[in-house]
Amino acid sequence: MIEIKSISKTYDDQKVVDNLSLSVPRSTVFGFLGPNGAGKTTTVKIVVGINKPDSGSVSINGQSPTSPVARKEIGFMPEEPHFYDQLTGLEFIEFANKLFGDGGSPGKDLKDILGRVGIYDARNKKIRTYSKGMKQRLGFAQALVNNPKYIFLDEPLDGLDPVGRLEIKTILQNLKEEGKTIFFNSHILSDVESICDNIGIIHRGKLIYSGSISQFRNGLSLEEKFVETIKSHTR
Amino acid sequence: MNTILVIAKNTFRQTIRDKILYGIFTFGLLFIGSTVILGSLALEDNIFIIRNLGLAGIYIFSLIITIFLASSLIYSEVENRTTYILLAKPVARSSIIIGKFLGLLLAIATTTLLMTLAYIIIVVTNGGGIDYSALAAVGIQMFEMALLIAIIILFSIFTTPLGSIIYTILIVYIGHSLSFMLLYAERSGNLARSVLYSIYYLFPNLEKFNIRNLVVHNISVSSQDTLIVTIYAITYTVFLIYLAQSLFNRKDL
Amino acid sequence: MVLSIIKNTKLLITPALLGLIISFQYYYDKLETRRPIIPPTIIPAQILRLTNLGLDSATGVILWIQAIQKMTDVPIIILPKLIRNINDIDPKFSYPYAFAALLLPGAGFPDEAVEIARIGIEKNHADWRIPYYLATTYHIFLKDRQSAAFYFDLASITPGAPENIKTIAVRYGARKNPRDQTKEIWTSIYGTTGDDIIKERARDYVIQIEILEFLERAIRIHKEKYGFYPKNTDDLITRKIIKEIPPSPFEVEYHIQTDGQINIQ
Repeated sequence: MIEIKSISKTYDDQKVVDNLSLSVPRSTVFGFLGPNGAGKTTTVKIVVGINKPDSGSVSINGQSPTSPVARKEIGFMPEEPHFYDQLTGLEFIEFANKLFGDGGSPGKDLKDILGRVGIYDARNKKIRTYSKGMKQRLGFAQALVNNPKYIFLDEPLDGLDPVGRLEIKTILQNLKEEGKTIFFNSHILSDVESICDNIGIIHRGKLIYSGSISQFRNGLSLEEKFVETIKSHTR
Repeated sequence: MNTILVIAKNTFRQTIRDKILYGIFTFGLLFIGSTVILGSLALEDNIFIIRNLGLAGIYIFSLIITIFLASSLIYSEVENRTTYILLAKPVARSSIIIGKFLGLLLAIATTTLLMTLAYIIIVVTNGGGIDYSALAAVGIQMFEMALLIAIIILFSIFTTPLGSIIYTILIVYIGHSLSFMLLYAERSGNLARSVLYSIYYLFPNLEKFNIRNLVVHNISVSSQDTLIVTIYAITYTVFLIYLAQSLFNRKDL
Repeated sequence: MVLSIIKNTKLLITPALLGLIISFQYYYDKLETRRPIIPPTIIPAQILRLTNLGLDSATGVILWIQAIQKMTDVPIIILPKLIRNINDIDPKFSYPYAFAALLLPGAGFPDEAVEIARIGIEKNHADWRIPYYLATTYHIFLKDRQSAAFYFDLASITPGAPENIKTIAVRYGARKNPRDQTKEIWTSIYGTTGDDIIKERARDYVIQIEILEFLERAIRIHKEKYGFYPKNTDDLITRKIIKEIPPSPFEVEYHIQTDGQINIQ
């Protein structure tokens, strides 16, 4: 269970996240939506423990993610992930894996993960040579090395072609069936619609909706309702 | 502790594969080789010339490699936000700083060692025997490099990468000229004097890591001096790394 | 057809431009000889220390190499200043002191030579060449045999002095003939130096002394044959005692004294 309680964060006198509260039940997929600049990335960075909120708290599985130990159960994929260009894909995954100590996966599993995300063939090539799509997949792979119970993804489908998007969405579906809790940011509504159980909508740092998709749509298409909601909050 | 070593090894791998490093390194080797030619121009004492210029070359090129390598590593970390992936793992922020420091130190120690090897071979093949004291000079030089790496890491946390390069270069020059500052201090009024004396004691005094002038004249360094220099270096470096990781802990990324 | 001309012209552009660049450089170099020679700027040691990151000895070495390379086309008056600057930046770099001690007097700076050498001895106890060359200068140029003896002594007790140097130093003063002594000193310097300039100078002195010895032998033969000394060296040739006067490495005039000894101008 992911519990976000009244977190706020201010950067340069601007309140980027404003008193946000959410909960995500276990083994569900939660889609976090909002226009660009709404505060999605800031929120997710706080939730995985990269930054501390100015006020409020986060608890994942009962623990605060700010302590390194708590992050053993987390996998995180940042937006537009970047890597150490001189390493090969496999070396990078192995490096990410070693950071978990015993909590990581055995060697052959790493190759399976690379296969799962579709870059097994490029595993011995330097990341310098990877395309954007390949980097995106590698970013996803490194989030899975510790077989985490909680997976956080920031724009996971960005930069992927339609085939890639389907592949990743399938993986997400499988992960959900394996009982993982998934939290992901997106501004592509159709993706959200197809995999998420619940959604949250953030606008200018404030949470303006949290709950099930069908309840939100209320008969309209997700896109229509979304745009309408944003516009009404902008006035 | 384990994560520190993992990060260190990874940093080492990342830096040692940098192509530009090889360019600078090759120039360093060429320079050391060319000291033989310069030595023959000097009429007599050509071993003296070779040793002098060789050790100077090892120093200058190590300096260039250190400043370049450390700042480009930090630069790409900052630009590419590679740290986000690291920070979401069960890794303490301080481990990241310490791990990067150790990885960089190892990479620079390796290139310095290779240049020193070339130097020793050149001295031997020119009739100078195995220059053991040069090893001491290079060893103590590594303390200076370690300090500089720590400084660059510290600066990169709160300034731009270009800024940290410029400040570090300034610190290198000032660090070697601090004794002149004292001469100034002697002639100044009380306020200026206290300021200058404070700068003198707080700034890293880099000249103490320079035993080259003694080594080429075959003057040995006392073990007491070596001990104090070692302790100074370790203390100052630990201090800088400690500052760096404190700042890094507080920083929003 | 027009196109092919244009294509060919394009191919010529790169070599043409390169050719121009090379020609202009060549032309510039040719004009070099007409430009005034700028004496080297001597950057004071103190300023160099501010910028050399502590690499004092290496800086001294570079200055020394520069000084040697420029020695031929630098106005001689600069030489002591150059050497002094090197001494300033690396007081323990002993060779320039020795070099100055031996060669500055020949260039017209005996006092400077003595002063530089004295500083060198003070700062550098381990180099025998400084006192030895200073003693040589005292002996030959300043005709101060007392100081020469003192410094020869000093050289002989300096660690690292070769055996023949020690012998010469010890026997100095015991030998009656100063010219023999001088020849011996120069021979020893020739044998122990690796420095081409000094070697050449020493050889020149030895050759000059040998010429004098040769001419004096010829003068004695003349005296034995004719009963009187020749008026000048040409007489030796016309009277068929020697074939020719060997060329002197220094441009000297020989004057024969009334007692048959040769004097050099």
